[in-house]
Amino acid sequence: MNTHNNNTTFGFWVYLMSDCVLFAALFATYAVLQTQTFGGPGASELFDLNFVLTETLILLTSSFTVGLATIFSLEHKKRATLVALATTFILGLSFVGMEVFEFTHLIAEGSGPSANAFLSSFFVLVGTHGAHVTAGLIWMFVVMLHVMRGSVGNKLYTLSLFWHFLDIVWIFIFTFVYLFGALAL
Amino acid sequence: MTIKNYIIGFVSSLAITSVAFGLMFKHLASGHVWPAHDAMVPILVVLALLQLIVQLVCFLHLNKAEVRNWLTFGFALFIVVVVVGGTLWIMNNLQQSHAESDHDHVTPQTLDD
Repeated sequence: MNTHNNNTTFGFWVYLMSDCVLFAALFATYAVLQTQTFGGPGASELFDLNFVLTETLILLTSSFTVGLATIFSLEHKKRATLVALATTFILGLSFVGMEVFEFTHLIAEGSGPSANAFLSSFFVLVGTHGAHVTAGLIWMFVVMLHVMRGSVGNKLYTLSLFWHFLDIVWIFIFTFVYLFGALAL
Repeated sequence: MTIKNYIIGFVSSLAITSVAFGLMFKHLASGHVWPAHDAMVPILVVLALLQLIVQLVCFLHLNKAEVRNWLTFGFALFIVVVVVGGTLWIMNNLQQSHAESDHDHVTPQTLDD
């Protein structure tokens, strides 16, 4: 299986790049609105960096394990592929769980998406990323079923591209939303 | 695409992330003194870009990609720069001219007082 020279991979790559433009628009919106807190608490008061660091390490590790799954499937190691995918799935699920916890915590504190423009843009940006991760988890579950049946093709490779892409988007979220937020710009 | 690539990518991503968060924790613990506030912004941007490059090469194998992948990547990058850069440029200008017109409005009043 040649993973680089085919139209499926290229088509998926084009999708990823257009998704990248979507996130750029959301980042630009957040950058403009981040100071509009309408008298409410700002990013430096709301976010917990230790929590974000844990989320980051979980997502980063899951990006590594999905890479391992791709390599194992190329080497036709079915069992190892499944173990790596299952690990990625659990890590991804933990990440989404942490994000849901953060969101419900914020909403309970009265800092929900309708509180002010800053929080609206925050929930849309980070929530869109979380929705992508959730979609990725559903896709991963389907791919695991395909692996069990032994009909993977390049489904696993496109999934790994998607997962790595989400990890890259997260780099910019933790830098520009959480770390810059803690700087109180 | 080998396991070595992924290990290099994973380890360097972990290192870059630790440096970014580590410096931030130091900055906050020192009461925004060291590393200086103005230094943190470029440091964090450089670290984010560094991690972007590491992951593009080690995880997305962009260095071995076809020309058409590079072209779409370049085009997407161009759109991202236009959208984000253009938005910040316009909104900053708007804020500045807004502040100036506020200033013009306020000055005569303060002179009267």
